[in-house]
Amino acid sequence: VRTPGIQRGLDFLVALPQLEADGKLQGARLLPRIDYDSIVRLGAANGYDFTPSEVSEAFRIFMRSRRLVLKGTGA
Amino acid sequence: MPEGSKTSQYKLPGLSPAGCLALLWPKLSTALVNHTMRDRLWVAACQLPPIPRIALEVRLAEHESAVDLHQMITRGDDDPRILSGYLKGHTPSLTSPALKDFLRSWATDEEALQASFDHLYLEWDSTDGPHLPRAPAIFLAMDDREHKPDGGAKRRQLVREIVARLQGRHGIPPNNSFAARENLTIGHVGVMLGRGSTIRCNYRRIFRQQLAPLLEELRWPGDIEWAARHFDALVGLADRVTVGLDFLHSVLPSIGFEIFLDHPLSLGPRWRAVLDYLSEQGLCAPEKTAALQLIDAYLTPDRSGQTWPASWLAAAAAAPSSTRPAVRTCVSHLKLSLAHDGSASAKAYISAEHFWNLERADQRCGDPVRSASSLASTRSRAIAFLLSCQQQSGFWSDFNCANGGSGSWVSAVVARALATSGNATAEACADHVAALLLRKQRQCGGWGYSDQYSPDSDSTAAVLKCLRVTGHERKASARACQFLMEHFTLDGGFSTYAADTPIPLRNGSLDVRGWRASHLCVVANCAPFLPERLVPLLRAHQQANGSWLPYWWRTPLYATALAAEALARAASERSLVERAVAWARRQSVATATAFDAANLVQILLQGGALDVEAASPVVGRLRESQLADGSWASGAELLIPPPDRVVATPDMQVILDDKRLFTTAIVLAALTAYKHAKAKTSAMLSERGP
Repeated sequence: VRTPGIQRGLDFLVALPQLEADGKLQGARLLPRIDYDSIVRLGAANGYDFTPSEVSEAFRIFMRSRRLVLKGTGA
Repeated sequence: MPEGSKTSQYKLPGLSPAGCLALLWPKLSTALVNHTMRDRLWVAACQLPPIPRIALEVRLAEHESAVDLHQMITRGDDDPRILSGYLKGHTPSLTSPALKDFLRSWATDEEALQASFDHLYLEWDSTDGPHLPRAPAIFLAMDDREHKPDGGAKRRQLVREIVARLQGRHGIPPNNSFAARENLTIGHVGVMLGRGSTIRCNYRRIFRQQLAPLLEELRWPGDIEWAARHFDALVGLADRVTVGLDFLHSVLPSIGFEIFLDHPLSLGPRWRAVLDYLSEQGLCAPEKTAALQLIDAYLTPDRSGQTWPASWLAAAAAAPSSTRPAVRTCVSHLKLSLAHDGSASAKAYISAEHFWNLERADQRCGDPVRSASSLASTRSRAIAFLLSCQQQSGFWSDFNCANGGSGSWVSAVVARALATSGNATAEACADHVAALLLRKQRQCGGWGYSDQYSPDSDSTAAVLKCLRVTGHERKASARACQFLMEHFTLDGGFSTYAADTPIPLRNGSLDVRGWRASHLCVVANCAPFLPERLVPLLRAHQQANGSWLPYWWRTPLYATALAAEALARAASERSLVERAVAWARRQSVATATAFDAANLVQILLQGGALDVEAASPVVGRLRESQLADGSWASGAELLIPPPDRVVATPDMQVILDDKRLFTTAIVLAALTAYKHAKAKTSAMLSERGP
């Protein structure tokens, strides 16, 4: 079930490349100790409101859709 | 990474190897790594270069909880750039200035070191405290990966220089280790920066019964007989065993045997045999051994119930859409260590490696050569490849994803191809292997797919063919043919497994009627040994198009080649052979594997002079598709039908010869047969005159 929180998590993931380009990720991807609470804070700082479990599920959906697209193109 | 996509320009981000631990922990029993050690390893992993590959060296004895930490760095996946960036900052994991200097030079490639060392291993010993231990050991690849024994003096000199550079003024010239032993292949040289100036040499391809003379030559101060006994036993159980010796001023009295198997632990019984051996020595706690079975996995972020490491999430989401991140967790290998005080210990190496694309996890292949070589050169390189892949036990092993891989069957096919190659070294090797195979004949007279599987008619026929061309057949033939006779089925067919042969299956399947039914590919293989009974079967079941349908193979070419070869011996069956040859002439090789193309050649060679000519372009294609190491890409598509299925269909599970040995042996045999056929044709033409 794609709840509003999961949808906001997905929106955040889709926006990540742009957030990174704008320097708003605060080096998050290089910090080994970053946890899902940190991701939640990062989302909130950029206007995306979700819980750790919602963004975790959103990420799974995000990667699954990417795989399905790849499968569809034969890649 | 996929070519042609924007991924190829994308700079891969660093990922903390702590993420590997996060994914590994749920698969790893606390019997193997307890909670205290997990906390320490986590802290340590957070300090490593952000390259997401990690391995844990875990002790298998009951009360030993220490775990060493390893990291592999390659020249791919942007590792050098990521390492270079890491080295510019705070590097708590790398305390040795000499090591940092070397790594910086390697990462920037200012001394062109990457061409010589495409991968490096860093190894930190376990400590009692929360901090990373002393300086890590660094292991460098020494001799050529293609098992060439000389390895190249230039490369060895380079390694010597780097060892001296890393050791600095404390260095001791390692003359005893690799300087004076040009006839031995050294896989890796380790500079143990945390253990004084100790150097470790990992020797490989030491054959059974060769260790004791080597240790005597090196004046190894340990118990040589004890070490050799363990080594010989392990060589008989594993695909590879490397021998690790430590050198200081002279060789130290400890020794380590690293034990490798080419199939995943979860996929076969041979790991069990090695673990049983170590357990019999009292070196493995049962619950640790059991826990090792649960580690093999490919993990992907889209899997249900799978939480991807939070520190990797942003990088994965921001990566190009063509990426498919995955992590492979597995037991890489085992180790038996014998200490100077007569004690022994066992370890398992458990790895977790991130891939930006799942497909990369299994890609291992040489590059195709750019132009075709002469037939003689092509055959020579194929022979060299097969000889270089011979295991220390004397055998070859392939099809590692099918029931733990095959030893006897594959060895018989490879040895037969070598025996008929006309190369003296290859023939001597084949003769030795035939003698080894003779010793493996079971009480019932047959041979099996591997030592762990029951004897079957197909493997027995393959071994008999090998024994026939090496002159050993008479020693085993009577009992073997008697064994073959037990494979006739009640409906008049001929099966792979006899009615009373046990077929142990991992899934406990009881319905094995498919594997006990009549199989034409097996009939074709066994026909030379029971012609009166099996030729009529081939005659009765040839397809209208001239081919024979296989049970164990995806395509009919191998079965048809075996049948044509068997029938060509009988003049009365000439019409069957001609139909097979006519079928072969209608086949296209445009998309065929090298294995199928080679079988096509073998069928055509059973025809007349025109058919031999028709084989020429196929042979040309085989010459062009030989890989740089002398092999051909895996193309032997072995089918593993569910045991209850009597009829195989091409959509069933296919297992390839992952080591490329079976395909290469079949191609070599076809090229040798082609050479003889061409010579025969030429002789006939010259006899006729102009």
